Amino acid sequence: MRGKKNLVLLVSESASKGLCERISNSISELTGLPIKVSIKSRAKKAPEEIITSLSRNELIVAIHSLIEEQKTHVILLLSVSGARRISEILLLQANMELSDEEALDALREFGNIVFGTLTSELSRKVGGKVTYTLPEVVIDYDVAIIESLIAPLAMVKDVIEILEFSITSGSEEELGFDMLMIPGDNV
Amino acid sequence: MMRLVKVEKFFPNKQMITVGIGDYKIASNPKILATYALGSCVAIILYDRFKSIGALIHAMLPEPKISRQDNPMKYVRTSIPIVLSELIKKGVSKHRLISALIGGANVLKYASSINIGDRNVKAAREVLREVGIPIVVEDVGGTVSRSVFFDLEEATVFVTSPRRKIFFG
Repeated sequence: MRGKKNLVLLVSESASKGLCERISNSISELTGLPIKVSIKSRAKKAPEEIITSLSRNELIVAIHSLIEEQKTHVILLLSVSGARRISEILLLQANMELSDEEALDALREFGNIVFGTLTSELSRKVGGKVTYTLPEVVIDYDVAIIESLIAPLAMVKDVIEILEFSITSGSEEELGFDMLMIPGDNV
Repeated sequence: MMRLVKVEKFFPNKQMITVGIGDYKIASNPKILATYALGSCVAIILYDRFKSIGALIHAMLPEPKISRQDNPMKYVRTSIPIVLSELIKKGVSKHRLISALIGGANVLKYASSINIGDRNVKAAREVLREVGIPIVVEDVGGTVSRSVFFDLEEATVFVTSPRRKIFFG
C-alpha cells in the first residue's frame, strides 16, 4: 500500500533526520528561538498502553491535522503556557492584539508552518502530492485528546504504531511541546 | 432519584475512588466515584438509591471484535452485564437500579469518520435498555471532554469540562 510505503520512508533514519531538520528550521525562523526537533520514540503498543503512557491528565493545547494521502494523524501537543508563549511571539511579530481568538488563529498558523513543512518534505520524498487538513486547535485534557485518536484505531487493531517527536528549545525559555504521528492505515 | 450538576470545578468533601480507562469500581455511601477526562469514552453509573450502592464504569469502545479476548471492561457491551452481576452479588436488586450516562464527545474533528463517541452512547443505551435499567441522567456528545464525580450520598453526578478560551481572556 502506498501509505505504508511512505510511512516506512518517513521513519527511516536518513529521512527522519532531514525531516526533523526542516521542521526545526521552520519553527526557529517563525519564533526566533533555537528549536531542535528529534524523534523521541517509535513504538508499537496496545491502545490502552499508549493512552496511559502519553497522558498525564493535564490540560494541554493540541494542534491536529490529518495527512490525507497517508491517512496519518499529526498532532502537536503544547503545554498551555507554551502555547500562550508561541502565540504571543507570533502575534507580537504581526503587531496584533493578544486576545484568545487571535491566539487560536496564531496557533493554527503555527500548525500550518509545521505541517506544511512536513508535507512538503513528504511530497519531495515520495515524488507525489501530499496534503493535510486545516489545523484544528483544541484545548482539553491530554488523555481525552489521545484517547480520541487512539479509540477509532483500537476498534480494528490490538497494536498501534506511533511516532513521538520531541521538540526542545535551546534557549532558557521552556516551551514544552511534543509532536505525535499516528499512521491511520498501519492498523 | 439522581441528578446532574455541571460545575466549573469539583471539590470533594468525602473519600474519592478513581476509575481508570477500561475499569470499574463499586462503592457505597458515603463516597465519591470519579473518572477523568472522558473524550469519546463513556462513563456508565449504576445506582441503587435505597441501598446507596453504586458502580461507575469507564468504557472506551462499544463492543469487542469477535476474535478479541481481552479486558471486557474496555467495552460498553461486555462491561455492563459484568458490573450488574457484581452489584447483584452485593445484594442489590436489579429492579431498583437507575443509571447515568456521560461522555461520548467528539473532541477532534478529524479523528474518525466512524464517530466512536456516538457509537459508545448508542451501545450504552441499547445495553441498559436490554437489561431493564432506566437512564435518568444523561450528558453526552458535544466537543469537549468531561470529568465525572458521583456522590453516592447525594445521588448527584457532578460534571466538569475544560474551558475553551484560556489564553488571554
